[in-house]
Amino acid sequence: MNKMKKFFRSLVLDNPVFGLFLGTCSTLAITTNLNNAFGMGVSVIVILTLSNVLISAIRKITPDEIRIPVYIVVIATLVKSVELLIKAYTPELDTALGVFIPLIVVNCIILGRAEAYASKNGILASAKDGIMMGLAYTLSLTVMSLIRQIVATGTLSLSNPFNNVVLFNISLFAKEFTISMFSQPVGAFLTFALLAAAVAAYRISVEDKAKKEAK
Amino acid sequence: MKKALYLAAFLAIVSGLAGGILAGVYQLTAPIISEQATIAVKANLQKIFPTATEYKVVTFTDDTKLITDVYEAVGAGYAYKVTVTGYKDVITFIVGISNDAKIVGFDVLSINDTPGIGQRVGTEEFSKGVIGKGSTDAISTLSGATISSTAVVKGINAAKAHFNALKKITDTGSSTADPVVTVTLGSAIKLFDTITTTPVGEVTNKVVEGDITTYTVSSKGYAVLESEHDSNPKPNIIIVKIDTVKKQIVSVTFSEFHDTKNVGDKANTDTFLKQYAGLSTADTAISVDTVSGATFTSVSVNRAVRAAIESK
Repeated sequence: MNKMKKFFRSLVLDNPVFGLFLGTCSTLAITTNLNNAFGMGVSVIVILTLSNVLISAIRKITPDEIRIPVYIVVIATLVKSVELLIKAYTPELDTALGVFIPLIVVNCIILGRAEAYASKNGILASAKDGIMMGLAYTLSLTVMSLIRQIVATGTLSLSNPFNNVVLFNISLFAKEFTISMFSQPVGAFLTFALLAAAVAAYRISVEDKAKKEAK
Repeated sequence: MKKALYLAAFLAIVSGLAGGILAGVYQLTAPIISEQATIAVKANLQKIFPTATEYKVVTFTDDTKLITDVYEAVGAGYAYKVTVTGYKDVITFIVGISNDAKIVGFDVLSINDTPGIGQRVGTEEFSKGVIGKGSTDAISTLSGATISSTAVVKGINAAKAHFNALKKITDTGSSTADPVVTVTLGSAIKLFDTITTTPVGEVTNKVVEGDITTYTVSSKGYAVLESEHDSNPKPNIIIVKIDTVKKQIVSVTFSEFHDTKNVGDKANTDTFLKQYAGLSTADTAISVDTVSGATFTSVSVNRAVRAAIESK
């Protein structure tokens, strides 16, 4: 139980998007529907884990002065290779994710974790950090796109990114009651601000509790 | 010095390794990727030219830089993949022109403009005005989605120009047709209502021909009264014909129109101007319906007619 609670807390409070405000650019841009959120989330989990492992592996031979350019070269190589492989072997996944993959290079979560964690920790711990951070990022995207998709279109749909087959498509309320602004950047900022405020409120309540216990 | 050399060497080695890996992956995947790309394009071409079986990539030159790919469906026609800049983002579409110079297919591949406004160019509302047109016909833009539809029409024109050059067809028509104007009549305004009192129309000429008197009236429209953009605004000049024996308006027509194009000129249509014919000049309760969205111009016509009636 305690372990579950800890896991949940780290997912919410150390959340890269709403807790650390990393990778907000891509979050605002792609959270218009669930498909995008899962696609981007899976891509980031894979690339973040791989880059964390690689950077952790070379952490002892990388000179401190030029670590950032080295990280960027490693990340860019990784992303480009994955992009080419996806294009070649799973074209359906490419049509679904094609636009997001090049964006991952500039997703600051990857460089952020490389600098903050992988460069100081072992390979296994770095891989674990990559998966955790990736999961938390995916969770943020999912929550945000859930809100935006439902409010903006009144429907909730998801299709398999590997073959574009629609898995489910639920109509929740009539089109007359939708707020199409939420599919626009304005809606992205509003949703983002609300969720970030909720996470901040939760953080404060947890800290208050900890202080009381300490007394 | 030694340190700097070491750092440079390390970065060079890392970059070299990265380059090597990428080159390897590229070599491995390039043939598969190009094969996948042709499969995807073929699916699109098949929709436009269902009878064609063989497709060829055509090398081309395009001064407008809008056409990205040209394909020949052997024995059927040509398909153009065109990318234009819309309102927010680029719009990519495919337009197919058959060998008998008719546009047979139009399909928007990607669009990111405003939903309900710019995205209308991706719907049947727009495509029905494209498909079936000849390669020299003008394509109408969408009223209300001017930026997106003008961009797409420009792209289609580039494709048409390439096709016409290829087939040696001379294009004499205008490149962009005027948008389809829909005139909706709004609230009724009495000719002798207070709204038409000031400023008054000014009768500049009067010609009597038997029963019919023709007045030329200068009336201030939107350009003079409201527009801040026009540095030298001019009033509208309106011709009013009145039958002085029957005391009836015969006709009202514009001689010069100076208000906003595509907005005020909705009042310069039969739908609006026909309302005046037959109205009694003795009755002060006569009214016409103004054109929704062109109220200023409509009222300027009212003032002109009133000035003509009162001047006799």
